[in-house]
Amino acid sequence: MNENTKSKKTASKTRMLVFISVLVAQGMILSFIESMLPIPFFAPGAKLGLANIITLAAIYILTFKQATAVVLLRVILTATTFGSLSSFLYSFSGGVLSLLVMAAILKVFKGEISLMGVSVAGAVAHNMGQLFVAAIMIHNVLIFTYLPILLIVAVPTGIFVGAVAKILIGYLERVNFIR
Amino acid sequence: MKKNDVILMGIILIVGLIALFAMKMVQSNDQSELQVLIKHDGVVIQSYPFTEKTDETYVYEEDGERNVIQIKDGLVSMIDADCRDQICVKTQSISNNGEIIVCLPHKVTVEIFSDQAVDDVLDDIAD
Repeated sequence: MNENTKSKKTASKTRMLVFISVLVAQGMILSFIESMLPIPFFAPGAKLGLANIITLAAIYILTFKQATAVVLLRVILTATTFGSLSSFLYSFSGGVLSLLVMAAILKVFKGEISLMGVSVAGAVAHNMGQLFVAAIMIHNVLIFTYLPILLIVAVPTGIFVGAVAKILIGYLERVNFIR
Repeated sequence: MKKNDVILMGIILIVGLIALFAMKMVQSNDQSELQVLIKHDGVVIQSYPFTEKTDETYVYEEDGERNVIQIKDGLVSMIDADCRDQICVKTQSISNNGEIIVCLPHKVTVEIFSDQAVDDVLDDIAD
């Protein structure tokens, strides 16, 4: 009896470990795909934010601690495989800030806001985090003149990311992987 | 989508648009005694007075990093760079005070700067 519950506990722990790993791997691939997409000329620095799909799903399904692990692992592993120290700083600041903002909004407005709204807020936070690091890196605050256009672009990209995350969460809940 | 989503997105869009228009107003307001400043790591490495007639090409080359900046026909643009993201090359050319082209990987920035603004402040102090 005791042996049985213990092995069940280990099994669910292993499941969680695998699930987090899968999310990290998906996030890494999406970051990689993102880096191959063309950049729009009218908004330097604007991106779709594909990796935010995974962050959003992680916040929604997992605990805050586990979601933080997903984001940190993705950022560190992506930088060490595809990137450099500076790309690590950008994705770290953007990734962590958007994680914090999205988790906070989901907690405060739970049930009163959909994934699209959370995702748009996350996109805005992501841009701000990256601009802060960029301003420090190049010693030039004029880079903040890009913020208005990035805010505007964050709305459609955030809606897109939120919509995809919603579909992904739907599938994840159907397969009952986590329980 | 719920009501709060629409409110949140609306606020972000309105703030973005207002900031964009305010910025454009301020930028096109001051067109006298403009200068093009080319900086690396925040330090000015080259500057040119900027008018319609300015015709200069500056090649930044250091540690195997290369950026080519062209000033022509009243427009400033980054025409070539060997950085990995090429964002600077794809950035639209600039012509107004306060506008900037950034090459993040090389820490190179090209900005248009007005001496007038600084002079005005100095005049005010002198008065």
